[in-house]
Amino acid sequence: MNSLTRYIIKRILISLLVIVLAGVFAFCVIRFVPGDPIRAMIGSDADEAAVEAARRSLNLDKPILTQMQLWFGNLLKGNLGRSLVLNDSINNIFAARIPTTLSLSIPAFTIAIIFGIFFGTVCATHRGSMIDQILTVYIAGTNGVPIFWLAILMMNFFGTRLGWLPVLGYVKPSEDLGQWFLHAVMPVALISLQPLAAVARQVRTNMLEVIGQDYIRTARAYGVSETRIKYEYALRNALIPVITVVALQVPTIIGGSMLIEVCFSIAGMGRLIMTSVSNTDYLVIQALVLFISVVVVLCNLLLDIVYGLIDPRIRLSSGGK
Amino acid sequence: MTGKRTKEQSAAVQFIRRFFSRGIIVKAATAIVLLFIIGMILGPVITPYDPNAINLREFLSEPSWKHWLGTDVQGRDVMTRIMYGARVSMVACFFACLGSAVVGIALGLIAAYWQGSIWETLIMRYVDFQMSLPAMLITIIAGLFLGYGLVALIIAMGIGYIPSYIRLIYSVVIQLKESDYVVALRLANVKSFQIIFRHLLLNSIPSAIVMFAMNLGKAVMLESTLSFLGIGIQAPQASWGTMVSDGYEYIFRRPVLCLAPGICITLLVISFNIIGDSLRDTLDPRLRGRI
Repeated sequence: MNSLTRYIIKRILISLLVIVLAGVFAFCVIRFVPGDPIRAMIGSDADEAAVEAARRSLNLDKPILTQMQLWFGNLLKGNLGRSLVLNDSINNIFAARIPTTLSLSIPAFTIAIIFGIFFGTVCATHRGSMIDQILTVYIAGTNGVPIFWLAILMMNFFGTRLGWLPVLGYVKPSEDLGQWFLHAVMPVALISLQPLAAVARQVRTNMLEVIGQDYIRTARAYGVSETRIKYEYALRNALIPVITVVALQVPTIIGGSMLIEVCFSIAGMGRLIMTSVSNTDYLVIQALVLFISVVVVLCNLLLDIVYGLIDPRIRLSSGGK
Repeated sequence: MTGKRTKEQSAAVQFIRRFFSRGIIVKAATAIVLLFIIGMILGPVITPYDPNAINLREFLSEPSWKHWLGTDVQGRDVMTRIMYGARVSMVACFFACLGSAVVGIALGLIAAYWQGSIWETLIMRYVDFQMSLPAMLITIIAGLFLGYGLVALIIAMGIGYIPSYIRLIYSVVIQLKESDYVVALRLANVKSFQIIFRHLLLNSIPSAIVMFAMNLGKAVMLESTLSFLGIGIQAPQASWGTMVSDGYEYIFRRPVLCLAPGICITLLVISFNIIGDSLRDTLDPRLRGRI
């Protein structure tokens, strides 16, 4: 077996282990939460028989190992269960909300990566210049500004005062592309803010590190043009570690859209988390925990594999054992 | 004895000098944090008002000498509420970071020292799992189990920061473990216990301090976000996050109600980040001398 296959198999096994851990954790939520979660879900005025029936329908009366077996069995079938609060299957609830969240988070993610790499490169190649200083302050600023506060100020300024953008709500891109764009501008900008700064910062550091390396000096000594050195030699090598930072931004994007969807009252997955918490809808919460960790783990797996493909040093060091 | 002591002192003085010699920004950041700490401790002495006393005769009054930042819709002095908000926020964040540091360092040491054991696998996969969820979600779920109150909030936020320490200490200790002096200690049959506490732990403390400063900034942000959403610090207790959401309704009449707490959060978080960055650069000999 060559080192690449071994590396990929190892990554897949690790990801599976993490997903199983997430499944066990989600399994524990409803079983170990204090108080009476069943009663909290179907309402405090429900009678004893209804609570008992709900408990039976969730298999909570069976021995714990059987329960776990049923839970994982259902998950493998792709069945996330049924929400007792919303009285709908969780698969349906998710299916209605995932496109909304994706239509905001994918543009945000793309913008963060593209502009992050661009800003980082500009900073590094113009180190110490005005533009570098402005961008450094911008990066420090976005890490410190509370996103919810910025959201309020932006809604107030661009929405109410100037009247340029709609303040609340969301329109599906399939219904009206122009309206979707107007509704999505502020949320996407706000969600991408922190990931963009993180990527830019990492690119800047890596570029500066790479530019100081011997092979760049050698290339200069050979008379390779400065543009070619910067973009072909330095940027390519500087981008490899950025993949790790990009992978770390996936949870940040999810956390960001949680907050932004609440601020802009957009009915996506993020707002679903908040409403399920306030409704004590434990079944949706456990499905959400599992769903988010599976998404993030799969993204990380994909990026790890890309990482291994691009940089042979990685697969030799961690998969070669 | 005396000689050794002066040498230690001078090392500390040197460190502080080097830390502050990094420019005006570090000094400003430290000054801002100190200012908030002073306001937080001396709050009750400086201001004559009660942060939660409702005074409807003076609701939404303009900033004046009597009320520096005006009053909110219930006539409560905004300046006073900001100072008391700093109290709750800083206490919650400090203890959350401290608790997570203690647990995280311990688990990181275990995972790194007994590398290859089942403990390492469990601890590191737990880290992977938790890192795959946003910190806010972790805290919210922990809140389901713990309820909502100051202590519950501290524990819930603390849980969110444990993996960052585990990862850090793990990578530091794995490197330290291979260094010649630790190998020599092992060959000399020094007990594991002693190696871990005397050498590995003490040598990884500087990196942990940097992480602590960074996490303080993140925790202030998280606490205010949770309070803004209504699941952090509960009313009527003042918190910067709740002040923003309360002030939002009156953003046209009194923008200061919404602006002041937001600016405080920004200043404090950026200051903690700058201090963390500078600490890292000062402690890391390779980065010495750069900006």
